[in-house]
Amino acid sequence: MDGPAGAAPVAREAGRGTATPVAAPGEAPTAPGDPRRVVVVGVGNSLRRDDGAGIAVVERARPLLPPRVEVRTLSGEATTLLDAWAGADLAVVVDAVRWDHPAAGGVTRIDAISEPDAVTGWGAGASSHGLGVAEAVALARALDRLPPRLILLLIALAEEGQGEGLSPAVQGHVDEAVALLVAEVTAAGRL
Amino acid sequence: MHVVITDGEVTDVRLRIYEPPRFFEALLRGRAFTEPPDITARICGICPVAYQMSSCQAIEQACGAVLDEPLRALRRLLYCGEWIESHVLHIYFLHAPDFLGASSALELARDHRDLVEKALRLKKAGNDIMEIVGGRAIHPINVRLGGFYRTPTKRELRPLAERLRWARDAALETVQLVAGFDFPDLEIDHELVALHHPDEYAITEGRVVSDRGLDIEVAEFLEHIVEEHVAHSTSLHGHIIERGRYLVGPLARYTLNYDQLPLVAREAATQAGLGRECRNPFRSIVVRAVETVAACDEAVRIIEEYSEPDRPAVPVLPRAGVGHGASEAPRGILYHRYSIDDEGTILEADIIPPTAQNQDAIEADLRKLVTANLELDDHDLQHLCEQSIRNYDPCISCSTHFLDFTVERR
Repeated sequence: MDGPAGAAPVAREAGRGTATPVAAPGEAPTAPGDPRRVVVVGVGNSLRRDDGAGIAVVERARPLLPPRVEVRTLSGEATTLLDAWAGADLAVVVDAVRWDHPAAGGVTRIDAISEPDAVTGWGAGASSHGLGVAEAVALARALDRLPPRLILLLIALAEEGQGEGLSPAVQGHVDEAVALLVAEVTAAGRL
Repeated sequence: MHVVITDGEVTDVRLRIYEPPRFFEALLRGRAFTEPPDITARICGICPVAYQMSSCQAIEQACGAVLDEPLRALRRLLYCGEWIESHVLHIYFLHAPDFLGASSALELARDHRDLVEKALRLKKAGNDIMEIVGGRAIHPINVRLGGFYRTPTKRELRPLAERLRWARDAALETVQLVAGFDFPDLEIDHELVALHHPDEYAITEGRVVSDRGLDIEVAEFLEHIVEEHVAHSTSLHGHIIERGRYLVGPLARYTLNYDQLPLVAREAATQAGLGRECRNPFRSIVVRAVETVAACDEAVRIIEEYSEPDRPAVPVLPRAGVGHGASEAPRGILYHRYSIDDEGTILEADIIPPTAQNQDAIEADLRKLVTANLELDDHDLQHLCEQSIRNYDPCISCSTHFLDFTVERR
């Protein structure tokens, strides 16, 4: 989970019923022999309610993705993200964030390469104890460690207390986020 | 954080820190005795090994299991990896910006790129240990009661040693760098508490000792330390019975265990101007750097002396009982206690993390700091308080806002 409550990032909302058509289960997003490396990272903690949304989405998507796609789950600490996407041609990071907009469960897609302003200023320096996804992107940009393509799928969380299970608001949008995630990987396979 | 200033005097300083272990204690009740290492590792993304080690130790004690020496050494190696990761993260990405006039790690990366690149490589040495010994860098999956699911071969560890020798040199340079920072004068008088082991710088195990005479087995921890509810916080505050506040973490470890530091770390400390003890919390960044040297050096030693264990884990069979475990998480003692029945079902779980133990000391420091800087406006006062809190690297990772700061001037 990342991002301060009430922050109003400049971001393009892609979710809420506008998801791109997805690949059918088993359809190979990348052609055999395609050397492109795709990394999918779910960020969060599944014992912190909606903070686990990123993890839930990538786990749900895992069987829909071709075996060559690397699927990882991380706490979101910035430097580990830099390592996770090192050498990738495409990285898709799924994380839950505190945002007033979109409404809880809404999925926002940010192309971190072509839309740098959508990430800048979001959550920077927020934590005493670790740096999150926004800081990871900014840090990677400063150090030339961004992958050629980096997509962030950010899910607005509703509940972030302790406990297992997503809130109904976020749970209701998991399929949509999964569809967006699979679509990103599928689109990469067609490039 | 809430500060009340009445007629120009600080009358109240309250720090509310979110504390996840309470939830986990409840979650663990009724679970199998084999589950705490995996479940509690998810409390913190920064120090999962600490939670795994303290929980394993407690349950193994309850079940009467004793680890083979090579397995014990491997656990220490894994823990060194976590120390390197956590300390380097804190030193370079959270603490150093305060001293180098940078507003954040990002600004540091822009202005001191070589420094940050080196920090990432140094931290990666810790990650590599976690991946090879722990199974992965975050939330290691290779740890189990009695040892590991799989132990690494000598051949797998060999390349690590080379990276760790480089890391040791980089850590020595880190000590030199941070020793040159400008530190505010501040001496704390809190009782210092740490694990102590006669033969090694205590990380995975030891007796609980203090600079004021406390010297107890881990199993006696709750006879001397109490956790008290504080009205303004959901977390419990740790106190030593009849003595009050105390401090765990790098300053306590260094001061109490200086003699057990490896020679290379002691020499680095001397060159950095540290004496045999350190009571200035702002200098904790130097102590963390010295401990990083120690962790790298220790990791190299363990790998050089490594002999592949005969078995990846010793059997741990359930029996009714109570077990206690404590280890030195990067930010201080992490205590676990479990009560299990003869089938291995967990009846009770107690987890006392370092941040809860330090909370009173942090508040006391803040009170002193605010009192001495009343003339500052709220913004500058907040910045100063954030710096002071960062000295202790409190475990508030799940709080997105580092500090919600309010000042009530009456």
